Amino acid sequence: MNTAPSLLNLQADFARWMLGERGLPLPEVVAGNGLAPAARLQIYQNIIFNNLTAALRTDYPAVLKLVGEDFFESAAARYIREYPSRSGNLQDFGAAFPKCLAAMPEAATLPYLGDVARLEWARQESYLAADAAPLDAAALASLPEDQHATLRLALHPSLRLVESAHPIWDIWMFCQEVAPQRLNLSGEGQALMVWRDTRQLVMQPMAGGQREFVAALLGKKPLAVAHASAVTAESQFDLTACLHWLLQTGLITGYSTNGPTWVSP
Amino acid sequence: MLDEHPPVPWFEVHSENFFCAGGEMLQTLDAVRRDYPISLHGVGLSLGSSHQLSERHLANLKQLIGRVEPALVSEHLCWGAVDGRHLNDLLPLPYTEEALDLMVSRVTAAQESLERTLLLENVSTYLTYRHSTIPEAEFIAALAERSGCHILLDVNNIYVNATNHGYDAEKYIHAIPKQTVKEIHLAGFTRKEGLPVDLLIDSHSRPVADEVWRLYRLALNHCGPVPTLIEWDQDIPPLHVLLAEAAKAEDRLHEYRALAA
Repeated sequence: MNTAPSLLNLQADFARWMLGERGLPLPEVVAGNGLAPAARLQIYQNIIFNNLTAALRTDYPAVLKLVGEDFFESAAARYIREYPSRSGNLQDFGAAFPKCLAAMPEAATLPYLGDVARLEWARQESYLAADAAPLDAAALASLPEDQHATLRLALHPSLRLVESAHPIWDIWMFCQEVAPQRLNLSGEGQALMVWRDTRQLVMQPMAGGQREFVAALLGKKPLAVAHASAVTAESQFDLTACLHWLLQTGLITGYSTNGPTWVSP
Repeated sequence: MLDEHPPVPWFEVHSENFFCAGGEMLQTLDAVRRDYPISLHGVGLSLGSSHQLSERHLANLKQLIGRVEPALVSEHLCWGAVDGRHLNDLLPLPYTEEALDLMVSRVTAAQESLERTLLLENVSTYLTYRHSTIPEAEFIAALAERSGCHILLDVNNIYVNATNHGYDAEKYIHAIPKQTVKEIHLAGFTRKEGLPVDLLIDSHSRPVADEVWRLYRLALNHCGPVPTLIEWDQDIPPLHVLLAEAAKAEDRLHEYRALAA
């Protein structure tokens, strides 16, 4: 850059340099002022990597506990380079970290790592999700029977279902401060519901018909379809008990009997 | 903090931390807002970036402004993203006519969209560009004049930059149009060790330095008694230590008012 670069070119080169590219003319436009220009750029690179890594550390405490500080830092550095941040809001940054971890050859011996990360991201999403008032059980009970066939239920915006071929609930519990002493990594796969109960995050293991039922409702299926798939998974599935529990927990927040028209409290 | 109900006049929060749709963060903010004025301080709008302003970011900010009805809304004199890639940091602009024109048009557009006058804050920098032609204080003064924005004068950042780049901090303060300064920031810096030159980092992790308190007095003499915030968001100490720092700033504001009366 013998002549002054345009602002756009300067910023494009700056971003490339920060994400690890070298051989750019950028250092030539930086005043050294007693230091090598690259040393000054390096200060920014360190700050950027530290900030973004700190954001991941906040979002993924269980992953950090599982892999340790050094591995986490190098995984974070890879993520920052390969999945550059797309938002001015740091809360958005970690969304693809589970995918990045699952694809890391260095993490191939920890096949559950990506799923534990998915669980932690579901917790982050749930924590920040919209509020919604619970539906009164009476509102559903008073629906005429001929509307049951097309009935759909809206679930709380914070509700997430995370499923894994690994025992992610056990693994997550093992990473907490008060943790069980033993962990069987090759235990059966687990599914978990995550939601926000007024302020606190709540997690609950899910299995059988209940798991199928909630998955179908989250997939916007009509109640009758969700019921049928729950019964297919578990012939003893108790629809009334399951609906009662969802209503009591405040997880049903609206209903629709007529396609796009939703009723909420 | 909510339980202790500390005797401070107002609070400032990072806008982006409250871009969420619901939950505990917003509930807490609403609770603080019931008892105190709030200032929204953004770090991610990236006004100095060549690319278009993010409509989504602006919309989120506008929604938060509607909810909080803040006393002040501020952003930074910097850039942070290019080609849709964000570095999530307050990065230095070259102080050129091109960058000034861009900042003026971006700040004008943001103010129109948000229907608010913005405060723009001078940032700490660790490098300068060879092709910069305008001194930083003149750059921010011209930005305020042409866009109608106000200035959030960070006295610690002036001290940090004066040290890092070898200019006169007092001269900087005197070059700022006094009527545009609507808020002052103070913070602690850290010194980077093992370098052949003095290099200060704006770490927000320590008490305000004596030299910065001295410059603060000078800034008050220049701009009058402007609302002042202590920024301490890394290695956060117990609340009483923070309150003692804030009380120190309040003392100097009282001292100024007493002298001016």
